[in-house]
Amino acid sequence: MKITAIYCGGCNPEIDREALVKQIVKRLGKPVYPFSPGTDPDLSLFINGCPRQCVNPRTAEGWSGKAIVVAGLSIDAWEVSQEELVDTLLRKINEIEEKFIPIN
Amino acid sequence: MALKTAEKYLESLRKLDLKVWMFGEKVQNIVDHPVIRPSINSVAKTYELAQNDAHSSLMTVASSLSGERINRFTHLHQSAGDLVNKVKMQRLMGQKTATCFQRCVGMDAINALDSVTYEMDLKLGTKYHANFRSFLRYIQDNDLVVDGAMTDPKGDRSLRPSQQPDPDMYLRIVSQNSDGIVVRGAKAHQTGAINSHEICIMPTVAMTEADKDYAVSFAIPSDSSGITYIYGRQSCDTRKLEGSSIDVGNALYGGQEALVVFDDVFVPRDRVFMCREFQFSGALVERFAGYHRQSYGGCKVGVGDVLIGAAAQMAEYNGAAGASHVKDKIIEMIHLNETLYSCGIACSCQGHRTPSGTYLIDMLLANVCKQNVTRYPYEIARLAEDIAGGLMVTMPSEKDFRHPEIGPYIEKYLKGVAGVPTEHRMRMLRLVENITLGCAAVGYRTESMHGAGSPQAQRIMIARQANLEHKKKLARIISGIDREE
Ligand SMILES: Cc1cc2nc3c(=O)[nH]c(=O)nc-3n(C[C@H](O)[C@H](O)[C@H](O)COP(=O)(O)OP(=O)(O)OC[C@H]3O[C@@H](n4cnc5c(N)ncnc54)[C@H](O)[C@@H]3O)c2cc1C
Repeated sequence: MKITAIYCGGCNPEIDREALVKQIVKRLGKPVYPFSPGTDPDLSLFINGCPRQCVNPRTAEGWSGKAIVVAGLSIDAWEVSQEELVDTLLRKINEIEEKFIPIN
Repeated sequence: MALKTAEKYLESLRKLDLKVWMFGEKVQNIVDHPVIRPSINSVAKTYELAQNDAHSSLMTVASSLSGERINRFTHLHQSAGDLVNKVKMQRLMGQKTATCFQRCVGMDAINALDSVTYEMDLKLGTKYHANFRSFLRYIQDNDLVVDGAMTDPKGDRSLRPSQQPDPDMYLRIVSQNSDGIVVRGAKAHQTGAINSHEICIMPTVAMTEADKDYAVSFAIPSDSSGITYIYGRQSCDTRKLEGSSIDVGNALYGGQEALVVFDDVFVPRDRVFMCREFQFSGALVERFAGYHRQSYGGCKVGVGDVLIGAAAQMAEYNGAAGASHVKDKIIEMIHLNETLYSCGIACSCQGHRTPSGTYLIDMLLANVCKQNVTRYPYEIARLAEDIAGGLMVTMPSEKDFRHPEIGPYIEKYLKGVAGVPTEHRMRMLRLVENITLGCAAVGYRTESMHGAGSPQAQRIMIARQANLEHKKKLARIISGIDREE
């Protein structure tokens, strides 16, 4: 399952967005690619520094597959604590991966 | 059509069987009572403007529940744009009434309850969201006024609800059966309670397990058996009994607060939105307070517009409008007022979606908004008093002004610039008095201080919401202590 991260601009973050993705990469043991047109991901992680959700599936262009929106201390609009953030995101990714059926 | 006319609203109030007390007497007819009527007119204005082509695009919105056009005061915000429009509507209403128009607490209560009941049901397996949504559908379909009732009397502030010597100092569940719950206690300072069709109760503070009987939320008709309303006094309120249109300052509109007592009131199960789920009481308090702190970035600004206008008009009537310090003071008033508005708009623009689909304001900015509201209206009022002159508190009454013998003295000696009738000068001075010291000062000053929580409540939220570690890291990088990763 190919995963990409789409970042907001990071103007006033309440979480360290890059550190979060680094921890996810480490715990998953596989890469999370930066988003660029044509990446064609199976899962897009929208990584926002605050709850505003400046990047999200409704406004972003060119993303594909499943989506998870991290927005400050929330995942898919549900509040999480700083301590739970990585584990909750990882659990969500794993849930999607378990159901993932590769096309080829 | 879900929208009521102002006349239908008045008619609906006449049908309520409310137990209201004022000045030691039971009030038989609230709608025509001279002390109460101006506050009813303010709420009626929310109906009137919704039917007015020049304002309906702001005052009404398509319901997210029914698709019908509804009054925005009963709406669940579905976007950041909706949050912005809420603040704009409140500024408009403040401009049109120059007082508290009372319908905001209910709007803020329903928006907070929507997301909290949704999240509570999913986390705890309870079934409150459906109860809440069917209540709200009824409110929207019938265009009703809801009193958002949060503040308990609280007794000894250093003690938790369950530690109070008198257990009724916070509203609580006293018994429960399969049909519903029975509650006892009171809610203080209730804005517009007597002008409301429904009363929507929420807890005042985050509860612990020991306080779980106090973790209760529900809505019931305002004339339910066991509810008593004791009308709150406002500064200069009895001037409304004198039949004068000048001395009251604002003869048409006013605000209203009441102490509402719940003496073993039965609440049917389908109207209960929280029953001992203390874990979610904090979220409900925080979200309601957040929305209400946003509200003040609209309503107080609208009243401020009227006060700034009155001060500028007084400067002209006094012949002082050309003085540079007066011009500068008016600029300062505008600057302060628009700063409040900027905060209201900013916390709305930065709002976000909650799991129920309802949008929530940016909490940090909403708290900054309200913190400014605890200060700027006081400064605006001070500057208005400076410009108006001392006559706003020493002027004779309208009865003296109308008197054939002494009236001519007042006409002669209280005149300002030529061409402006003395009566106009008196009316404008009384309006400034009304907003800064009279009935409307309840809303413009003390409510700015304590409404939606006293200043310290915002400072606690600001401390919690601001990411100080991030700021320290920025400084370490710029000063060369840390390297940018
Ligand atoms: C005009 C007006 C309209 C209102 N309308 C409504 C309404 O419609 N609905 C509603 O639910 N409420 C309403 N309120 C109530 C408002 O939310 C409260 O006034 C506010 O929460 C403060 O509570 P209080 O008045 O009991 O003051 P207190 O809580 O007694 O506060 C007084 C001071 O004591 C401090 N203090 C209090 N407790 C503590 C503590 N434990 N530790 C340290 N310091 C403490 C406060 O910070 C403050 O400085 C309204 C208030 C006003 C003035």
